[in-house]
Amino acid sequence: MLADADVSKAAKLAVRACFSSAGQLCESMERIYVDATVYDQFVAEFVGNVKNMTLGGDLDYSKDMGSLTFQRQLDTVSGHVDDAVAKGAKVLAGGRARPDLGPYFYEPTVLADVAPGMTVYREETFGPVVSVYKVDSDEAAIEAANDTAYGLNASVWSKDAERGKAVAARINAGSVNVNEGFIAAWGSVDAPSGGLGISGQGRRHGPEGLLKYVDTQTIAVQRVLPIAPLPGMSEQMWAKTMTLVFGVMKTLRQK
Amino acid sequence: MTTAPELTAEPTALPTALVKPLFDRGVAGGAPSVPIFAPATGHKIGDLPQSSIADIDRAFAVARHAQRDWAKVPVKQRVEILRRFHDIVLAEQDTILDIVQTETGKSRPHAFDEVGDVALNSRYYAAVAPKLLADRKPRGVLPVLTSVEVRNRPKGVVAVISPWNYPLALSASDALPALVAGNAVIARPDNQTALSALWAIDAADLATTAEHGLPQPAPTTSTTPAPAPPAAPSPSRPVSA
Repeated sequence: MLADADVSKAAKLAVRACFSSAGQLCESMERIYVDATVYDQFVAEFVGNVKNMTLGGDLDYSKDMGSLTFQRQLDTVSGHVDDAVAKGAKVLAGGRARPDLGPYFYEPTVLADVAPGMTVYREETFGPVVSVYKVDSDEAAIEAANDTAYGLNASVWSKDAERGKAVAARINAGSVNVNEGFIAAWGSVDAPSGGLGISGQGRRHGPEGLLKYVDTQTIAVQRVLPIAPLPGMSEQMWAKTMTLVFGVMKTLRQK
Repeated sequence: MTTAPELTAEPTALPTALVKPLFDRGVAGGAPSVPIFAPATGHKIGDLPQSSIADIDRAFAVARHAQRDWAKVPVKQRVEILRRFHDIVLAEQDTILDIVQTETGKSRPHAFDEVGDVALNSRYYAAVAPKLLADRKPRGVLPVLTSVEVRNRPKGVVAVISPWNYPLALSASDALPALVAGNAVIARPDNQTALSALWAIDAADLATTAEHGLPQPAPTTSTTPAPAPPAAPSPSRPVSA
């Protein structure tokens, strides 16, 4: 979140970027680095939006977020939050399971004051937990964002798209969305999708997503003259002739 | 369709009339079935048949046989099946949204992202596959004297092992380009979310039938994938979404 970001818009869209499928989305956001000049406004609006989210398992569009899928997911999420809180992190929203709604519900959770040594600092939770960090510069944000072995998806927020793209190019992630969380890149299926570092294997979407399912076969047909010394020509003369041909072809910039 | 749990002694998460025929599509039954529950409610979805090694061998044999015929279908005809599949997924979205939500516990807005992903990929690969798969004529070593063609051959049988977090998008959208390239696909979805993949296979069969005007093909004769859920009881970890 750069200093010139549209803070209110970011605070709204970040909800979807962090809590889609209760954070069980490989591309979802787990760490947000916010420029110090807009930190307080962003956190206030974001936390407000998160607290307004509705939870439930209804089979209609009435609920913003559903349940985790397994007990082991609930255990991981609870473990990561409890570990962070025990080591000094602050819970700004959520932070508890909701067995009253269903066996694996957990509230969308926002943490602050997360520090090295806490599991959520560098490990993936794969649940509805996001940490917000205050940073003093774009450089600091880029350095912190790249301080991980993972690199599937990232997001940069700035009203200046060119500035956003320049920062995006320095983030080690297979996709970087400017002023979106994940769906701008994911939904653009003409472009390949996949991770850097230890995130993801290969690519889906785009030409790459199809060509990985075929093998090429090259069929070459030779006409008139063989690619070998002509009758009566010595191997040495053939080599000299071809050397000349190679030189001419390069001079003509032929491929 | 109704989405309310049936009022039986044991409430079910989805109507049995929907679940049973889809479970039956799997090349499975040789290993003990596994009960699957809806995360959001704890209600049972059903007992998912499991594949034995023999079931998997059978699925591959069927797929290898079907692939030879499928690869002969012109690409232009294959892409029409993708377009038909696109229409079916959008038209029947209420059903697959119920299934995805019930299997994963996610909310409907998030489940719709999966429907959107499948629609986008169907449309995209239908539009670009003919050009991507067309023969290419690159420069030969000796201009004029050497002519070269590059052809794209399907791999054969492709296994799509799909995780539970985006069960429709990561099973169907990854199978579509494999199929349009002339491969057969063996689906191995996570146990928790096999129903979403089985529904997609059912929709793909419907799209194929509609396109060819053939009778509804059984998995043994289908040009669409012969499913083999699930090959092993261990859950797979999500790798990408």
